[in-house]
Amino acid sequence: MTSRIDYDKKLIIIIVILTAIGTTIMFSASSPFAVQFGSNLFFLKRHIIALIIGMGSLIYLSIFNYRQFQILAPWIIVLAILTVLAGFYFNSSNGPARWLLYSNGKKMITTSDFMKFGMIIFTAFYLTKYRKDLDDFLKIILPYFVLAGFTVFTILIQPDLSTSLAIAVILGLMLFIGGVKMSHLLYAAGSAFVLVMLSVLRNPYQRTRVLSWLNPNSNISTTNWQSYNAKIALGNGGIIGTGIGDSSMKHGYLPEAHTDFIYSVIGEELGILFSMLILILFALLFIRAVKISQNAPDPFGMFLALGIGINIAVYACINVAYVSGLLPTTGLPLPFISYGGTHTVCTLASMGILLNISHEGNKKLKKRYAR
Amino acid sequence: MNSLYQYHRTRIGIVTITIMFVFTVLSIRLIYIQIIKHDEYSAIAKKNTIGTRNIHGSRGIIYDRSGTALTYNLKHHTFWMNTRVHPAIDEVCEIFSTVFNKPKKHYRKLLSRKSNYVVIEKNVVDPLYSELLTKLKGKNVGSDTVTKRHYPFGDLAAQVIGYTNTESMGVLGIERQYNSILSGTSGLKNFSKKANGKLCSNIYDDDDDSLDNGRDITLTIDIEYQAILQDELKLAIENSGAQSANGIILDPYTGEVLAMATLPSIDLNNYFDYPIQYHQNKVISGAYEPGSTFKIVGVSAGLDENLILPWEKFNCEGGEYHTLNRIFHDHKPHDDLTVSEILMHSSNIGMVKIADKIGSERIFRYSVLHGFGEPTGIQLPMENSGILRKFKDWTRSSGPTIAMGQEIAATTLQSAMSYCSIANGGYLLKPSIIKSISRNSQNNKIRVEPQVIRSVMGEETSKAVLSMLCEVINKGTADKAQMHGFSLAGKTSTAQKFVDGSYSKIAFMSAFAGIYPSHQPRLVCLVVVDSPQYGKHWGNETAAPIVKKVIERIINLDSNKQDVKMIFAAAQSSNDNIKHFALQTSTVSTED
Repeated sequence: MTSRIDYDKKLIIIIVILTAIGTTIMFSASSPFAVQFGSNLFFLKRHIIALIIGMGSLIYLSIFNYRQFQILAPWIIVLAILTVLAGFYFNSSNGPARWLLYSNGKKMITTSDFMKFGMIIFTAFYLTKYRKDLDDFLKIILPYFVLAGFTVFTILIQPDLSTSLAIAVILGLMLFIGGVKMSHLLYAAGSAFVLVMLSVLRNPYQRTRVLSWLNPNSNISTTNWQSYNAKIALGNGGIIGTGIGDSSMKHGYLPEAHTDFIYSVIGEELGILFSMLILILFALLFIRAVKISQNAPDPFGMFLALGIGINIAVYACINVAYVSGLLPTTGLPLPFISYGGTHTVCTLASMGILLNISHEGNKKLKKRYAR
Repeated sequence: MNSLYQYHRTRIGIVTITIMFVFTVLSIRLIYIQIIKHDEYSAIAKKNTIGTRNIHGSRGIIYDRSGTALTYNLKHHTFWMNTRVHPAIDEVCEIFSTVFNKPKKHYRKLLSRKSNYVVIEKNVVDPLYSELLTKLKGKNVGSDTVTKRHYPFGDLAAQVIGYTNTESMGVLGIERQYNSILSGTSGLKNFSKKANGKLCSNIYDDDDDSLDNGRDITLTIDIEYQAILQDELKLAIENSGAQSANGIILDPYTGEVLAMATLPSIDLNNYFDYPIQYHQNKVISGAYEPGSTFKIVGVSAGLDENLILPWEKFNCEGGEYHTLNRIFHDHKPHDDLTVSEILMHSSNIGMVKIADKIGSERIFRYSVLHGFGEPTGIQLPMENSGILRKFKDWTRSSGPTIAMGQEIAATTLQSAMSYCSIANGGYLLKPSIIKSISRNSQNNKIRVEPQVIRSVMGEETSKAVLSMLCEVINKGTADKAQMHGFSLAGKTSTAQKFVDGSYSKIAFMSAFAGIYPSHQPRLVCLVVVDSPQYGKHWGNETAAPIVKKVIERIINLDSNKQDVKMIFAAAQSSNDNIKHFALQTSTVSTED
C-alpha cells in the first residue's frame, strides 16, 4: 500500500476555482463599501485571513480521520448549542444574537454556522447508529425531532429565519436519504411550516419581505429595492459583463454587495459566462459529494458526505434564487464567495472532511483490489 | 459502489435529481434575466447609475506685455465634517489648531454643532491643503474645491483688468469685455452615480474631450509703468487732498496703452469691500471739460489750414475781453502775444481771437478729426464718447469757448489720443490695450496690430505744435515739469468743474498732458486730478509734477534695464574674448 495519498483531484480543482473567483469578485464588490473603513483592502485583508485559517482547517481535516467525528458527535452538538446560547447571553442588550462578539465587539463569529455543521455531523451519526430502527417513531424519530427542533428554534429566534429554514431543509433531505418514513418527515414539515408562519406574522420585516416578493414591482424604493437592483445588476451584465471592477450597482445600490448579493455583482461584472460557470461548479461539487458518498467506507461517511454536499447545494440554490428574484430576499451567504469569516472557515473545513472521506473510500477500494 | 449505497440508492437519486432540477431552473432564470431582458435592465442601470455634471474649462490668464501673469486660477478648498455621522474627534481639532494657529477650543466648539455639513476651514490653498490632506487621511473630514480668480497685483490696473463674480462671469474691465474668450467652454460630462445621488469623481466615459480651456490674453500694459503711474497718482492725491485722479501712458506711434490708472483703486481680490464709484475706469468713462489741454486743437487747425502763423501776434486785451455778450479772463494780463506765446501762457483771450480768425466751422471739424465726441474704440467696456454738440446746435460764442476747452466734454483717453497725433506726426490712432490673444494651442497668437484711423494734420503742423509745447515747459505755465537734461513737451489745464449748473470757484480739474522726449516722442502721459485743494488746483501745481516724476522714474527704470543689458553684453563679449584668447594660446601650445 502506498503511503502517498490520492485525494479527489476534481474536488480540489472545483474548490480552488470557486475560491479564486470568489476572492476576486469579493474584493471588487466590497471596495466601494470598504473605502468607508479607510481602505479598499479592508474586507479583502480580513477575507484572506479567513481563507488562510479555512485552508489550514481543510488540510488538517483531510488528514484527520473523519470516523473520530462519529465518537465526538454528541459532544459537538452540545458545544454548538452552548455557542449559540452564549451568543444570546452576550448580545442580550443590542442587536441580533447571530453573532458571538469578542475583543470589544470588533470581531464576531456567526454562531449558526457551528450549529449547522454540528447538526449535519450529528444527523449523520444518528442515522448511522439507529439505521435499523428508523421506523420507531416514539423512541428514535421523536427524540431527534425534539433536538433538531430545539436547535433550529434557537436560530429562528436570533432572529434568523432564512438560516433556520436552510438548516431544516438540509436536515430534512439527510433524513429522507437516511430512510426515515415519509409520513414522519411530513409531520416535521407540517409543524415547521406552522412555526415559520407564526414567525413571519410576528416579525414585520419578514412579512414585508414575503409580501414584496409576491408583488415584485410594487413600491420599488422601499421593501424590494435590493432584489430589484440585484435583478438590474444581473441584467446589466448581459453575456460578457461590464468588466471586473466596473459594476455600477455596487456603489450603494446593493447594500450587501460583498455578502448576500455578491452573485449579482458576478453577473454584472463578468456576465452570464461566469454566473453560469459558478452555478455549474456548485452542481459539479454536489455531484462529487454524491460520488464520494458512493465510495464511502461506512454509513457514517456516506451520510456525512451527502450532508456536506447538500449543504453547499442548498445554500447556492437559495442564494441564486433570491438574487434572481425567485425567492424572497434573505440573508444567506454564497459558499466560497461571499465575505464572512465563519462561513468561509466552516465551508473549507467541511471540504476537508469531504476530502478525507474520499481518501478513506479510495483506501478501502485499493485494499479490496489488492486482495 | 458499495452495498450500503445500494440500499439508499432510490432516495439519493430523488434528492440528486431534485437539486439538479433546481440548478436547471436557476440557469433558465439566468438566461432570461441576463440575455433576454439584458437591454431593458441595462437601460435602467444606465439611467439610475450615470449622472451628468456641468464641467468648465479653466479660465484664460491675463498677462502684461512682458508676460507677467496678472491673474491666476487658484483652487480654494473647504474642509467640512458630517458631525451627525462622525462625532468630533480630538485629533481633528488638534491638527487644525496646529496648522492654523487657532485654539483647539475654537474647533471643538465648531464641531459640537450637529449637522451634515459643518465647515471647519474655508479658502485653504496649496501647499497647506496637500499637507492637511495627508494629515487628515481616514479622519472622515471632507473637502470641496472651487476655482477662484486670484489677482497677484491687487490694486494695480484694477479697473482695467476687472474681476469676475462668483459664477466666473467677468463683471468689469478686460474680464468683462473678453469674458467669452477667457472662459473655457463648458459641457455635460458623465459620472457614475452612487445610490445616494453623489457623483463619483471619476468621469464615467472620457472618450470625448471637447471641453476647452479659455484663451490667454496679453495686454499692452507694462505692469512696472503701471506701478509707477499709480504710485505717483496716489501720492498726488495724498498731497493735494484731491477726490480722485486718473492717468494714462501711451506709445504715440502704436496707440498701445502702457499704463492706465484710476485712483483710488480697488483690491481685485476683495473688490466687494470698495464703494462702487471706485470700480469705474475714469480714464475711459469719466468725461469732463478738458480746459486748456484742448487748446492744441484750435492752434493745430489754424496752422494746418495756413490761417495763422506761429509768430503771428494777437492782442490779449490786458487780461479782460468783452465780446459776444461774455467776459473772457486770462489768469495773468498780457498784451500782444504770438500764437506760440498764447499756448505758453495758456491765454484764453488769445484763443478766442484765434478761433475768431479760423472760424467756428473749422474748430468743429478739427475737434471731430481729433476724435472728440466719439468713442475711441478701445477694447474696454463702458467707454464714454464725451460730448461734442452738433455744429447746428452751436451758438455764436461756441467756437471760441470750445477752442478754450469749455462747452465740450472729453475723456482722458480722447485727450491723450489727440496728444498722440501731435507726437506721431499728425495721425489719429485707435488706442489698443490688447497685444495678443492666444489661440487654443500654445505659441499661436492673434496679434493686435496698430490701427491708424485718419490723418488729422500735416506733419509740419504737428512738429510746430510740438515745439510750442516744449516752450510751454521751458518758459511757460508748466515750469514745474522741467527736467534736467531731458526735454519734455506738454500742456497744463486748470478747468473749473461744472457743479450744479454753474462753474465752481473752488473745484477744479487739474490736468497735464506730456510728450517725452520732445524731439523724438516715445511716450505720451496724461494725468487728471479731480478737485485738489484750492491753492494746489493749478495744473502746473499738481498735475505737471506727477507727469515729470512718472517720466523720470520710467527713465531710471529703463536705463537700469539698459545698464543690466549692457553689463550682460559686456560680460558676454569679455567672456568671448577670454575664450578667444584661450583658443589662441591653446593653438600656440599645440604648435609647441
